[in-house]
Amino acid sequence: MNTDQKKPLIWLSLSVSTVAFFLIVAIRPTVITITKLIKEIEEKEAASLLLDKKINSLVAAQKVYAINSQRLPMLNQALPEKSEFPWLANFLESTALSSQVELSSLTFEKIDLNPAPPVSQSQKPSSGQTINFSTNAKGDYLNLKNFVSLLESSRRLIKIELTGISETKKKEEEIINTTLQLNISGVIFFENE
Amino acid sequence: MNKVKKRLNKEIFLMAVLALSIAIVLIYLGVFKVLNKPGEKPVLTPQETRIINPQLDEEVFDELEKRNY
Repeated sequence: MNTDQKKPLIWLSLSVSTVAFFLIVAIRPTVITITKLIKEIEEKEAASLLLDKKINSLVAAQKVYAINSQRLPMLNQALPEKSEFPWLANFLESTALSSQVELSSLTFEKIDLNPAPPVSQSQKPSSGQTINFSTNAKGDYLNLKNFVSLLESSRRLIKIELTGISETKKKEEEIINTTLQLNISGVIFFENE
Repeated sequence: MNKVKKRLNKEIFLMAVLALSIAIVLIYLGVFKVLNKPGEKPVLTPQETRIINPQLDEEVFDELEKRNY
């Protein structure tokens, strides 16, 4: 091989080395930066799509809220944030009065009217608290039936778990008076936020 | 002497080609790493991406309206 034939190989080696050098020093960081930017643009486009969906759902929710805003307080009546104990006692009494039955006893389980706020998230009570109650009512069959039906049709969430009717007889001056006694036990719900 | 020079030239050329191949592999690995690396900070938090369901069961309201307060 003469000198003229050797020269191209040396120049070729030099050219390849130069290309390799610039690939590592200049092109590589540039390509990596371009890739990072493309990836970032794709992520932000996906986020933008998600936000568009969220905005659409919020607009739809706002419309639904506007349509039903007048009726939303009913939800608070059905499931109040607090136990609303005075209202509850009053409701049971007035229901008994309107259905002409006599409440002989009304028992609520021990409830904390001013519960301490939860210290941490883990101590937060689960939503949906209950008050157990039991009551005895006296009256005739139709009135007792009416009493149960009024309790069942209450807007406040009341679950009647157990009902029982027993008969008591009293003998007064040769006349036997028969009265029916209704035992109800149930659960009243509230949210306790 | 000529043979030694010729062999040296060939080796230099091979090293240059090897360097070029390494540079290409490095670029490929760099791009691969960037593409597979999970984002350091998500663009949106999970709360921001949570889409609420705008459907409302209106039968509940109808049912409640029928009841006495």
